[in-house]
Amino acid sequence: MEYNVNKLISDHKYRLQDLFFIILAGLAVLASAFHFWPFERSKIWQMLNIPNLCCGIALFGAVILLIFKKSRSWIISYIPHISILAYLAINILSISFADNLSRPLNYTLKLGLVLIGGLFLFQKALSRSKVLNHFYTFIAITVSISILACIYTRLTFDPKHFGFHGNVFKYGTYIGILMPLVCMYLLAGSRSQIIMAILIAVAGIFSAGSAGAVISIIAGLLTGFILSQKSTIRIHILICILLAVSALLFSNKIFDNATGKDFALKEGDGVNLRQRYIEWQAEINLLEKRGILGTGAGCVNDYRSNFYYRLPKLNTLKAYDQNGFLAIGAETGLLGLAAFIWMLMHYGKMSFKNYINLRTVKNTQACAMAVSNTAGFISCLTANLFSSIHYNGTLIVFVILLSLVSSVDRIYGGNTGED
Amino acid sequence: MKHSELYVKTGIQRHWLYIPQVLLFAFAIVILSIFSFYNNSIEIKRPVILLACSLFTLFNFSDSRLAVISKIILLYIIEVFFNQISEKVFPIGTFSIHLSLIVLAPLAISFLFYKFQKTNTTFTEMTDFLRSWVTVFVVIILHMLFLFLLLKKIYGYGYDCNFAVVANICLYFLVFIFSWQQLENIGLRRITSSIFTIFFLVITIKGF
Repeated sequence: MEYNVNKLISDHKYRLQDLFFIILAGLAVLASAFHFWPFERSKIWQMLNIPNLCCGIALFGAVILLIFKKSRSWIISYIPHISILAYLAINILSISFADNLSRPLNYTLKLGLVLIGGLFLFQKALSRSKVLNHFYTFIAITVSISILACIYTRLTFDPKHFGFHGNVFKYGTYIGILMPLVCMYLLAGSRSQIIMAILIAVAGIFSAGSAGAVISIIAGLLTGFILSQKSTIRIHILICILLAVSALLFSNKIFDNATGKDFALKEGDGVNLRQRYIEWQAEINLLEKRGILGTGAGCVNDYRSNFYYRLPKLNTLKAYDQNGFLAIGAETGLLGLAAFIWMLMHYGKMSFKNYINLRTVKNTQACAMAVSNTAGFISCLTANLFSSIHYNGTLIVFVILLSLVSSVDRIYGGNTGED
Repeated sequence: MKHSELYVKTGIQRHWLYIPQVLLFAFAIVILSIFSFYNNSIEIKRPVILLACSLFTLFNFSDSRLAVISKIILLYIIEVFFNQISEKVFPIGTFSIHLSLIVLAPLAISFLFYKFQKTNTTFTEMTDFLRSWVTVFVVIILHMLFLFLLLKKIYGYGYDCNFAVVANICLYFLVFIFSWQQLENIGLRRITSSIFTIFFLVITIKGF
């Protein structure tokens, strides 16, 4: 079966405007590896770091093009799915119930900037099959930089420092989603790409210090194993998993069982339940009183300790150690969680539909993209259980994933992905 | 895509049922607002945001995305009001009845009138949103089950929270079912928006 490239998208020539968005998208991806470096403590930089700035510029560009250009239809086609807009609307509404204004406002602004601007930027940049093909390799280079920086800092300076990300959970979410995504794509490529994929998988697991990162990477690789049509790719995935498990055991010996400790269900005292799970319980308890109101976008920390009830509060919870689903439910209420899940369902369905449509095509790259996107999506869902994809700096990864899913659908699926 | 293209109408329309449907819906919203005004358990810190959003919903948008956003805003405010009164009871002699049930009853009857009009409208966004609500149930219940097992294993006692959370999810889900499709009607949407606009205007000026 031959694949259909959407002619509306592939036929027109490159223009300066297209190159601008491609460079901007590349810059945003590359800069995401460096997180908030070099001004980690600056609040302004946290808001306007390079990836966020690129999304902002793209959003501004979109508005300018929408005002002055005649071809409005293609810009409108890049407006995010209604579920994303609904989720943003609920975030804005939830500000009404937050204790302070600045935090939920900043949070919602960042969310809107990255979700709307980022989606426009990446979808516009990835509107051609050639760019889309190279984009996965570019992500692989970016992930390699992040992993190398992490290994370097953990081995040379401090085993508790996770490269540019600094935090184990943020780093885990970053590589936990991107690593299976690029590995699955590279494993369907040339010999050098296969070697690169295996190296990334091994180094990624070696550097990851959290249970969430390890589980999401393994979940992504297993999804790729199940979905891949060729036996050679399956063998390569199996090799990846086996080497990754060995790397995990080796990493545990070198870094004083850091990853192993994160898998433990009990605290270090051997008596109490891990604070992470008590936190999950507190967030569910919070839904009893503030089921719809929530705490306000990004304000879960203001309220959660009030809902521990008779469970112990040990103050051992690390920063960003959150369950993304429960945190969203606690912050924006059940309606916010429903909108978020609506978003996941829409793009998840699109990703799986792409896989079903492309699994039998002759173009191995198109098929590899569909498999890697689905694997990345499963990793994303798993990563969101042990950390939140909504944090500033990791949200861009989620947006990259959504853009890849919709771009593959747009280019090879023969439809625009609209309802 | 035009808003009207979002749904397909089949069957016979019984227009006379429209009047009791709208009246009951409006009645439910009015008493919901009154109950919420006098029994608010959680303070609305910035009613001006809700006021601006209610004003936004007064417009009739031809774009399907904006129309759905309007519906989501209205649904959110209705659900917020239910959240405010969900723990309150109304004493009747020796019995007491939950305020939320008093409001839910006219809303449910209004929905029945809507259904009897035989306008079997199939909204494309309805199915996906409905599925996501069901997934919310599954996600929360799976987490509760996992935590129950953990707490039982480590502390020896069962689940720490009562099942009010599940009951609340059921209540909000019913509110969603009874209001979402009805809010498709622009007339009904405008009545609801107007009530909310007045409500938030009052509390913005006077406070609770």
